[in-house]
Amino acid sequence: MSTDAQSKTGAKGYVPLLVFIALGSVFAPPTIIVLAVGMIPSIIARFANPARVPGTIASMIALNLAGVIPALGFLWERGHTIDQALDLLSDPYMWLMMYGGAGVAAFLLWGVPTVVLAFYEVQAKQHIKRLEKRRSKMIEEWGAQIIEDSKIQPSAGKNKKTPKS
Amino acid sequence: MENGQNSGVLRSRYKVLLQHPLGHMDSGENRAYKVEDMRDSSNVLYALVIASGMPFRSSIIETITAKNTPGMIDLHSHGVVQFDATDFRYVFVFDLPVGGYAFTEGKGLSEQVVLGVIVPRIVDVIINLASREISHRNIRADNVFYMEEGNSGVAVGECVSTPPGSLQAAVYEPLESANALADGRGEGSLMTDIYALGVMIVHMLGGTHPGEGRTPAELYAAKLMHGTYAVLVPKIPASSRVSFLLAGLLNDDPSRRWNLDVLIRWRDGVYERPRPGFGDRQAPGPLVFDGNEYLSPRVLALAMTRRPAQAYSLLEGGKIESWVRNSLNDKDAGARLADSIATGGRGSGGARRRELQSVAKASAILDSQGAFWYRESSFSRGGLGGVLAYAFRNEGAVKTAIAELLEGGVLVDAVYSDLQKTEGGRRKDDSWVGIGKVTECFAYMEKREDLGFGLERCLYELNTRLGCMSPVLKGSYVSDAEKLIDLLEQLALKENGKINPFDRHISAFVATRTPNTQKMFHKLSTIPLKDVDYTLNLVMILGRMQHLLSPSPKPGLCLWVKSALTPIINTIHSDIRREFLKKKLDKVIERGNIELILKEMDLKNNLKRDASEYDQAITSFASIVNNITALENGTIARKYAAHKYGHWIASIMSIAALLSSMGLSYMYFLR
Repeated sequence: MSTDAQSKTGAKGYVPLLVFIALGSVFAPPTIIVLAVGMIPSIIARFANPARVPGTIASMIALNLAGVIPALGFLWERGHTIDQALDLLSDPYMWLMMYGGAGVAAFLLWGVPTVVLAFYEVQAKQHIKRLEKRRSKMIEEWGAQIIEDSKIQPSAGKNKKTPKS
Repeated sequence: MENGQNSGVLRSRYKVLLQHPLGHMDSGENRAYKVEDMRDSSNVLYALVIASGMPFRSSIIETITAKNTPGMIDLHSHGVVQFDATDFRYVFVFDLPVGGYAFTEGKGLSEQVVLGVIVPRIVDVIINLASREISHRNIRADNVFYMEEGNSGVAVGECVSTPPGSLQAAVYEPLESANALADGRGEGSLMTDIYALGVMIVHMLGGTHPGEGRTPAELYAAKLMHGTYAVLVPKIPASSRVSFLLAGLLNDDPSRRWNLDVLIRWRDGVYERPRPGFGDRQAPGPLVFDGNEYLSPRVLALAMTRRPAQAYSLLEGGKIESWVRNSLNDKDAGARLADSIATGGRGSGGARRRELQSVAKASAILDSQGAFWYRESSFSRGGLGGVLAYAFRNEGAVKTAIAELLEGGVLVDAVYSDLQKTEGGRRKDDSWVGIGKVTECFAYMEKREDLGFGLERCLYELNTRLGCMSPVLKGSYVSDAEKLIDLLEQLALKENGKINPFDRHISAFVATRTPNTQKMFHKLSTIPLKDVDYTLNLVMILGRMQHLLSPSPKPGLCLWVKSALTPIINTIHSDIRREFLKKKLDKVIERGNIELILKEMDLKNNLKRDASEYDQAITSFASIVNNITALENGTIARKYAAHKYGHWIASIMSIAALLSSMGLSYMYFLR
């Protein structure tokens, strides 16, 4: 797929979001304000993610949103006004809740691959150990000549007869 | 095996005393020793221990021992004698002539003694042997003895221990065999003995060797040109009685020589006027060859063999052919000569060999009654076997010449051409060698590199009772494959299996004497020398021989089998299988059964399975090595995978957290 086509598909993906923001700005401006401020880490992550590893943005958005949703709950509970929205945004606990979710996402995105890598390394070492054991066993059974013969085409072994002492 | 008490004893009776050699009774290469008769100590005997590779006259032994021959040294017994565990020799035991030689060189005997005492006795021997259709072939002045002290009991010496006529001086040989090598003179006939008797009379009366100062070729040429009588007799003081006798005996044409009937009449006192011979037929016009004029085709043939290159140019120019056709008026020989030039030489070897082959064929046509010549070899009818045995005993030019002769097909062509000749309106039915034998030898020489074939095979095919001449046997005599396998077993035990029971001689000997193994040798010849199958087939032949000929356990030969199979086992890649087979081999050789070893080891299958498993092992090993390398170098890939998988897990956890947050918020705020 060409770059133009990709960018066209990406642009199409933003249409519902823009419609949502437009409608929200008209019909529920306080919600849009809280959302806009609360979701800043995700917006930054969306544009600052150079690798564009699939899942990272989703994780960030999901956890960020998980922190923003209770804040929206408080907004609607206390009165869905712009004053309440600004009041809520002046509460550091709300900030902690909203951005904490993003922080947890960032931690997960760093920590889980590290843990998986460690697991992979241990698994690979055990596999190498097993293979080396098998290799030694084969050398013991077939002699060191198999090392040389295996370097040639395997079919060449058919006629290979090296006397053993 | 016989015990030590029977060592050196023939048929539990004749003890050969090796510590008492009797040099004066030696017979060519065969050594003479005193013999003790353990049953009758009054017998004075001597033994001839046959030299290794000596083709003694086995075909006449039974006929000679079947009936006593008065006037000939009595052959008491003969057979194989064991001198130690691995030393077997063929031995003949004869009466020892205590009276010594009847003739001493340089001291001529009187006519009375020669014609009155010696000749009648020998004539009796010739008559006696002729009645049994055998010839003596050893009648000469230094082979006549007095059996008793006081010059009594004349007897002619033995005639069985060497090839016929091989101990005769060339002068004693008639034209049919005079130009052959000593060992290739052939059985001859009664006429050969009669001729030798004539020469012996000349020798005894003259006191000196009749051929003294002349080479065999000079004698042959002189006899051809002037006739034997003219060459030998004028030198001795001979009465008319002697002259008549000698003219009859020394006629060079066997059909004009005195025959048995005339000889019997002579012995009985009826003297006949003989028809004297005058040498070979003469052409009215001479042929000039190499600056000399030749009238006799046989003398020309002799001269041609001396200068083959010049002879070839003459042959090529067609001069000899036209001389034979026109001057000798022999159209048949002329046609065969033309044919021999047209077919030329066979095989490889270049112009020189082609010349030799053509000259050999031409000289065989010109001198078809004489010996067949090729380079350093020459042999009379029936003499190829003897000369071949001689060639093997004395490695050298003769052996090379015979090998070249047989492999080039010259002899096949010459024999075929000889058999085309008609004698008295009938086609000839005998030649220097039988056409069947010579064709077989040609075929064996085509496979000369292979075991069981080549010149060695020809040797044993042409000498049916010759002992195996393998150096492995160290001169021991074995007459058949059964004895051979038993002797090889002893030698292998002695040498701890480090012998070669399949050298060229043994293989050829076995192939000749054991018809059952011939197919196996043919099969062996189709397998490359370095192939495992080759060794397995060799062992199989030995196993088959053991099974058929000597089924008793053969631990010694099994040791050889072990040494032959070990390198094959060592080619097995699998340590486990290899060690298992080695242990199995050690165990199974204890039973001494070669066929069982092959069966139990099942090496062919084991090698096949090993090769296939090794192939699989190589593939697995390569895959293991590749996997290890991939895993060792796979950190980056693993990092990437961990990153991807980690992010996926993180996103799942995040979505779970989002859904939880939504659920909890719904429950907290809306309920």
